Amino acid sequence: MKTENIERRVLEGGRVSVADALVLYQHAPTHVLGRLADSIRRRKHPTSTVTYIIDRNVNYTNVCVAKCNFCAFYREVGSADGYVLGFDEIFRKIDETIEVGGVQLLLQGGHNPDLPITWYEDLFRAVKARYPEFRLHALSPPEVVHISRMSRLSVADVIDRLIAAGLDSIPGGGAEILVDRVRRLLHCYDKATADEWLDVMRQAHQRGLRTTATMMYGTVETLEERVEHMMRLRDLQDETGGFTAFITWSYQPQHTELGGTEATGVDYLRTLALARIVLDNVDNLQASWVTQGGKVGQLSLAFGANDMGSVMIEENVVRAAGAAYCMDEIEIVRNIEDAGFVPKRRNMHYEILGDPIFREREVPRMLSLATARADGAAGEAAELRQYPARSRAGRQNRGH
Amino acid sequence: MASIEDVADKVRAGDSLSEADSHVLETCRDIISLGMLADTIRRGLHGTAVTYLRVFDLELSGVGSAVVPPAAGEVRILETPASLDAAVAAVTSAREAAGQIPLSAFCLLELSKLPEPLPVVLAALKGAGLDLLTHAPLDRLESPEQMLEAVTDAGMQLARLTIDDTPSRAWTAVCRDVAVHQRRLGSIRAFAPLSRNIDRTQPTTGYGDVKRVALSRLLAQNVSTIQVDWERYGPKLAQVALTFGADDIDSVTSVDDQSQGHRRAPLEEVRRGIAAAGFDPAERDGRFQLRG
Ligand code: SF4
Repeated sequence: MKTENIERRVLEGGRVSVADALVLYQHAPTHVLGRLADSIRRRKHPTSTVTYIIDRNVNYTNVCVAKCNFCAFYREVGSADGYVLGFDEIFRKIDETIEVGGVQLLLQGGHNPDLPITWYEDLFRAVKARYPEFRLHALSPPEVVHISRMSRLSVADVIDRLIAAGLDSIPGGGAEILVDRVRRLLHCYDKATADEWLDVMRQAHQRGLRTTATMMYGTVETLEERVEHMMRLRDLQDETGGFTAFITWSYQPQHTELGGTEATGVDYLRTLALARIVLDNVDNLQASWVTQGGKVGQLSLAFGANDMGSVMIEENVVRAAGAAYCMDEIEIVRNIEDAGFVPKRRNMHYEILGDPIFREREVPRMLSLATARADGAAGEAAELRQYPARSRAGRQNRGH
Repeated sequence: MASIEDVADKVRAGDSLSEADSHVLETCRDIISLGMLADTIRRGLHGTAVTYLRVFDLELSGVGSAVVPPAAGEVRILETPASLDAAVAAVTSAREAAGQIPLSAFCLLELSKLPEPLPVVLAALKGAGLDLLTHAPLDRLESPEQMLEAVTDAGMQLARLTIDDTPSRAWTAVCRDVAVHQRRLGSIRAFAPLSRNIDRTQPTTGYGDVKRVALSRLLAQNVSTIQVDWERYGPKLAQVALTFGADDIDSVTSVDDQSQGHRRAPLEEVRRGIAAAGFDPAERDGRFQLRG
């Protein structure tokens, strides 16, 4: 099928419809998709800057009642492998992050029934008291929904309280595919429906918080559903303008209940390029080197991405499902420059913070990503005793 | 100075490329344009087919007791023999184990280090039943012309010309050398342009790798096959390389591990990857004959 008319429209800055997006994905050669995506990236980012952020991806707990069947990270309530990080552990991680030039934590975790909203508030307040400049990019929409259900507060109230405690922005995790048929099949409908996910973001945007948006593809969705996901994000972005960036990655099947195979590298580049074409109102697209590896991660810069994502420092979720790539700042910068771009450090709002930090001062090299607990130990920190637990295992554990 | 579009016009018209054109390609940062051009040439040579080779690797110590799976399209001995006698003995045993399956063995550079003259070595190996020399690392051969010629003179085929490390000179110069050798000898069946030695602390980049593949396809058009190794470079890069001019996948294991299910077995993964890149998978044997 001919795609020239759609290509022309995209090159002229026009918007694509659902039908256009499907035709492009199904019929345009990979390089044509790349060329279109690259033209949009150049239009939006006329300088040759490619950004990245130094932050740490911390998972505060792996205990989760949601039990998504694509997830290799979670542990059931009462599991001997379950953990909740203590405040001191989190402070230590922040210290290490600051040491390598980091500016924020990406803080996400399982839906732990034994963590009341006050735990999150206390944590955020404690972080802000010790590190006033440090940003908390925390709690994906399903976590916000979970806290709202647990605390019998509206989503709006939860967001307000978390903002008051120090929340700076919300990561776009837990979106998977924003189509309820898919969410039911992935056992993630109950954690948050597509509408609930979007509503958390809407409410956050209305309160002036910026958020990111994500898509995990390659499980059970059809191509039509992938496009529907993008369209739903585009619609909300038209309404609020609150998404700073879009990040897509392929489902990582190892050690998951769902199993299956991972989508290929070419699938990734095509999906990324299509997202750049469809999401014409989202400024920034990140490369997912953590799932694709450094090489395809770098090639993302030719397929619509303008950002190499995060140095991460720590990663637990994707690693649990089999991917274990690592890129420290030196490696990210080398890849950006090798592709002909100028690397700049940024914050979550995509404000430029400066040149690579390792060119300003010595930072230790990082050849593998850290884990939540280096010694692999499970269990809760002692301070958790002061918080009420809802589960029987949690109550027993805390001696309540 | 010519632009990438000018060079692209020449490529599409089938005109030969000058040194100035090569320079334009070498300095081009527009990886998509390079990929598109290379893909045009690649499709002209091979259509939509991507071939793959299932290999059964033999260790020297295990040659005598080897049971070769019938799925193998090539039996390969990669280790370096200590002496010509050891090499001949290994080839003789492997020949027996391989039956009708093509047998490849050894690295040309390593064979050249044996005390006997290279023509003597190659003749002895051919006599013992060797079909193909596994590879010759172009960047490490002291006198590539003579050494490659020795392979041709011995009536043997070189399965692939390879590169060990990232060369210090321009990649276009390497490609032009490959084309010159091929013009003279005509016996280079495949060129595998990605470095065999992988520096874990500073690996080559994705841009660098696919650009190498694309330039190889564009500048060594007289070599039929541009090859990538599925196992060495990983499925993601190997698959993407197919869209930048590569047409053949080496080193697919011949022992299909179904323990994680059919869809995740190596053969199925390769075929799926080829199809997802927009090509038609076709299995070949070590002599580049299509199978089944
Ligand atoms: S993806 Fe998140 S919500 Fe789903 S099971 Fe894993 S930790 Fe829980």
